[in-house]
Amino acid sequence: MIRMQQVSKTFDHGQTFAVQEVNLEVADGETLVLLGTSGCGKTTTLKMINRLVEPSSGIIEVDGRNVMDCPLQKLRRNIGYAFQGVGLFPHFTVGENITIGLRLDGRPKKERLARAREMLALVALEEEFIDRYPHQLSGGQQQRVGVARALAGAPKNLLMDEPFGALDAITRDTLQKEYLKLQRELNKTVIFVTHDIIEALTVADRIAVMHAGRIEQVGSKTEILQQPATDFVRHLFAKPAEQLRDYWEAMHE
Amino acid sequence: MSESALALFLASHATELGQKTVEHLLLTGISTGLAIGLGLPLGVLVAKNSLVRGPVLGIVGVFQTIPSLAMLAFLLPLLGIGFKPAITALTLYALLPIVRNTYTGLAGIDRDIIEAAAGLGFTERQKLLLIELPLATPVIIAGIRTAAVIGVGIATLSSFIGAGGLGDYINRGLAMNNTQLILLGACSAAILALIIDFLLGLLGRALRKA
Ligand SMILES: Nc1ncnc2c1ncn2[C@@H]1O[C@H](COP(=O)(O)OP(=O)(O)OP(=O)(O)O)[C@@H](O)[C@H]1O
Ligand SMILES: [Mg+2]
Repeated sequence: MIRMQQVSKTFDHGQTFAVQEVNLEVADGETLVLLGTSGCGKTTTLKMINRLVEPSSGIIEVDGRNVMDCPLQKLRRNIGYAFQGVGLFPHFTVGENITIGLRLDGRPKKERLARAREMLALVALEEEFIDRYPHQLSGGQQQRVGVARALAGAPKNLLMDEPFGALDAITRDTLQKEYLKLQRELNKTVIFVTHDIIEALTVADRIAVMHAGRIEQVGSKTEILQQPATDFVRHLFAKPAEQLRDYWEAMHE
Repeated sequence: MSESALALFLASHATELGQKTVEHLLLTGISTGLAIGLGLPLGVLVAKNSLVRGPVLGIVGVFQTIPSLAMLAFLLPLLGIGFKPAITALTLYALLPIVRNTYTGLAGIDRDIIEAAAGLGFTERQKLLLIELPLATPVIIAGIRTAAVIGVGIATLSSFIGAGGLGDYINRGLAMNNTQLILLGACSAAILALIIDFLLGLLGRALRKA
């Protein structure tokens, strides 16, 4: 379980807030999608959970423990994180990247190799990628290796920052379906960041809509769609339909 | 000088030339080694701690601005003549390129990579040894290369305080007004510098591939 209570973050001594008074609760085995426009504070929210960013105020708990009381390395090793910037290690092969956590834990090479294969299959990459270097991969392939790395340590909690952002609609759809299947088996506690509405609706158990550092609404997909709490939420979901309509009208003029 | 005269000249100096070259290599090698041992940790410190960055880079930079002969003269009353003051001076000169390149190499690593390492739960030590130093290695090697090549040049001057090396030929040539001896010292040092630069270049490339 991940819980945030009145969490705020300012980078400029209180003049502006990247994240403001956020309250969130993600139940065990649940996927909460954090949906919002660029710069609204999604990444900052994720980073505070594993203390890559220290909150300015508020309390964050992971599995009932205040993260400020957890030993830093232990906390991070127990939370899988797929970074928005991916951040693969360029001097390690794909296989080594995926299993770096196991290496830090001193797991034997054979186990790491098997694990790397398993994870590659999970993110729909062929096995021969295992010995390649990150620069030999496309952006989307790198991103999938990043997801595999986040999953490799079998963490109970998972933070995914636009994990499929660089993928085409078809591969993205495959991986979203794969994700759902996986999630039914593995039951991880996930915060999934995206600004793609369809992706949000596909993978979410619940959606939190974020805007300018604040959570505008948290709820099930139906709640968000049928009872938008603010104009922003209504607008956010109406936008794609509006654009599609404009497009059709323009085409038939 | 005809070709055979040159051969004769070289042959008559062969044993001594070998010995002087070894001395020269020792001067350069030991001082560069010491500068690596000192400069690498200093470079890491400078990269990690912005408070000491200015002062440390400033101080190692100052060493480099002292003219070599003046530096040897300064060290004379402190350490006397011979090998020790020469090594000290050479080490101080070699420090700047190594410290600065270690710092530059570490500072130039993509922020996303550093953040990923931290976020995956690396300790500071694991991050440094597994990620940062390996990625900074090409830049660090370039610094060591610069240091070694400068070292070979400056080491010729340490002959003035009796530390030996190829500078002995230059010194002797100057005293005896013998151009051949001066050239023998100068050319051998230049060739040595080129060879060392080439070998360290190879090492750099090999490490990059590894
Ligand atoms: N280290 C930092 N220093 C100063 N400001 C920061 C820092 N990190 C983020 N910010 C600011 O905080 C705000 C939220 O940034 P954040 O990265 O959380 O946005 P985001 O929702 O993830 O956006 P995107 O969808 O573009 O990734 C932005 O205005 C950003 O400029
Ligand atoms: Mg972001």
